[in-house]
Amino acid sequence: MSGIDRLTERFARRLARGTSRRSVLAVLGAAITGAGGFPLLPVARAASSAPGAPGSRPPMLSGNPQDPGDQASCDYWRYCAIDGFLCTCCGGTVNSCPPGTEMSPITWIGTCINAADGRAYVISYNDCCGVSSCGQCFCNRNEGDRPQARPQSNNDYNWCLGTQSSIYNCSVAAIVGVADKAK
Amino acid sequence: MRITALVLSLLLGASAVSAQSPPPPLPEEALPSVGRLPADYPASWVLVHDFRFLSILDGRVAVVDTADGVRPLKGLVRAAQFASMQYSRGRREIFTAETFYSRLTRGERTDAITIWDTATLEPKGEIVLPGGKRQQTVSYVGQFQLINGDRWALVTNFTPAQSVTVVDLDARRVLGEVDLPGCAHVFATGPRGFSSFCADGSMISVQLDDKGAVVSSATLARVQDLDNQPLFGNPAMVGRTAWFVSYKGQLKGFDLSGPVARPLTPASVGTAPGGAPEWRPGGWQVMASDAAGLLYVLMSPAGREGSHKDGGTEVWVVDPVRNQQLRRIDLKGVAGSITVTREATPHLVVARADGQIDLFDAASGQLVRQLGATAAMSPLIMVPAQ
Amino acid sequence: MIRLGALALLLVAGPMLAATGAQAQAMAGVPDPAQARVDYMLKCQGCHQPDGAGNAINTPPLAGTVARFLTAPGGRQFVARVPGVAMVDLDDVRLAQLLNWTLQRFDASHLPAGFTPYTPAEIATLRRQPLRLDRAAVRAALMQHIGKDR
Repeated sequence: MSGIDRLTERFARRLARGTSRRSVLAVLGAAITGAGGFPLLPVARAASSAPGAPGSRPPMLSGNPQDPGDQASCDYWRYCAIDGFLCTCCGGTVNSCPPGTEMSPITWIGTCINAADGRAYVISYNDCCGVSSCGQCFCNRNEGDRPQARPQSNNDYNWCLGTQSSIYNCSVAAIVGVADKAK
Repeated sequence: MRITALVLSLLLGASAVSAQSPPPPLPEEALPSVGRLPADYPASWVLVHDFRFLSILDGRVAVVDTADGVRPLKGLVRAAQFASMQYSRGRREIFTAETFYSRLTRGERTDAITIWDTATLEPKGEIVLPGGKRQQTVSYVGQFQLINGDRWALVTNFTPAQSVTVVDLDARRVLGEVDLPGCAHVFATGPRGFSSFCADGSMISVQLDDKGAVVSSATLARVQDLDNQPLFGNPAMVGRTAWFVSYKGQLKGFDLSGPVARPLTPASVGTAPGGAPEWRPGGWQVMASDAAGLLYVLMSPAGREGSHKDGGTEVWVVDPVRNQQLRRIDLKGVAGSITVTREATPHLVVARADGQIDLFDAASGQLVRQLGATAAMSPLIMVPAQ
Repeated sequence: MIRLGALALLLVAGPMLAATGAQAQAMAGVPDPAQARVDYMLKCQGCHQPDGAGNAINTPPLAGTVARFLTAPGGRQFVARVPGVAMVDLDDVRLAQLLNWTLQRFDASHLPAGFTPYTPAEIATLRRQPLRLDRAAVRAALMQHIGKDR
């Protein structure tokens, strides 16, 4: 046990010294205690999902009780299969790209359940392209994600296709319909 | 004791110096001075593909000596913009398939394979890929393969139309393109060909003639259940057999030595107590193999729908032929990618989300060395040098 | 008054009911248009676009084009055998419905006279032989017959 404690301590100190990742310690701590299940690539969740964590950002709320949750947090209901930087943290919104980028017309589409009204919504995760990695609010959730052989269900592709530039900046999560049955 | 001796020697030294002339200055150092690596990397060395999420267009491959705790990073090779990487020991070359823009993020696009010299890490040449359609994806080895005795390379394209560009590395020119609709990733197969996973769960094996055109193909139906037992994309190689693991821990091996892939008897990673809800593989590069043909699988106790990229906290060692779980290695934290060296005493190399790389004894599971986050920001794929 | 109200209700509701029935018949082979629309969104729209326009370089357009294949010999089979259709994760019933919906939604004007919708049985047979390495050649031959230059 003492060996693991020493190891954990070294991990924590090295992290605190070496990076500015706000919630990595929370992630590692949770993982070691067995809570696990936190997104890994490349670093955990957007900081605002760990309330009170050092450097966490103020929540972005829609103001509509039918669209609840923090749009800067990986836990927001629309982000159930997102992979990338949240455009809400990059100068865009949940459904629009930041200025200076180009929204990719080719995209991947998933379904997420909105607990506020119990519906499964069809969400389009268009990428915003032509500007380098936003670097803010990285999230990777993979509900319904499948291997690349099924492109419409895989979020590992750079979906900056059909745009002037394939440089990836961030991803939106726009509602494009309601699924009759959640798949 | 030691402190006293030190003070004493300083005093003595000081008094001695004050009585004589000071020591000669440190010598002048010759410039320019640039390091050089051995052309053939030792078995403790690993190539680490740094996807570099915060700056994807500035991706790299880090050459790392896992045995050197003081200076593990030996050098960097460019691997720009969702690049893919291959390494040929025999050719003494590293290859990166990359994408560039004339104004960094905008302008005219160029896709190319760059050929790097293993000793100097300088580019020896490049082969431009036509069409600007190289597949850009978070790192999968199936986007870029060496075939035909490392004389040719395959690069997958995705526009979203799917095809494969065939490249002659010796002549440094493109031979042609194989249309491959409905399928993703290629794995070197037979004397001069590849196998690919298709959307209907099948696998197609294709052989090429000496000009790079398709000369034969065969389809194996139902090798992958994309809904219930989907396979992680990065396999572990045992000779020319590619072992894949499913999201739920089923192991599927394919003998790729002949012109058509030959599925082997599936195996399982086995079980363990403490699953909450259940043990499943998790992470990015979750599969590794050792020289004896054992498989190493990165496992998480928190497995559920959607957890397959969340990382793992243990590595399970499995004999896929006898279908036996041999031992479990506690990684003391969450990791995303693993590989195993071909040293006489093999080591399990573990990469974590924040760039930390740790080294475990592959047999005993003991932590041997922590390299720190000294080589890569986003180490997604690791390839041992031997 | 009540009877008048009831009559008025019928008069208003009647055409609506009739219209719904007419719509269900107008989309041949599409028992559930709402489901077909959602299936299009999840399986096709990401590349072929919400308006079926596709992308001239990367993804074949459906709008104004896809029904033309039905007039070429082998074209009806081709539409069901392209990997994006044949290999999609939908059962034969839903895939037949989706294909019929797509043809009528995006290219109704080019449907051949006496168009018979795809049946699940027909889809089951065709999707067992998906086009693979031969897709480009088959399409090129069909395009020649149809007379477009793409």
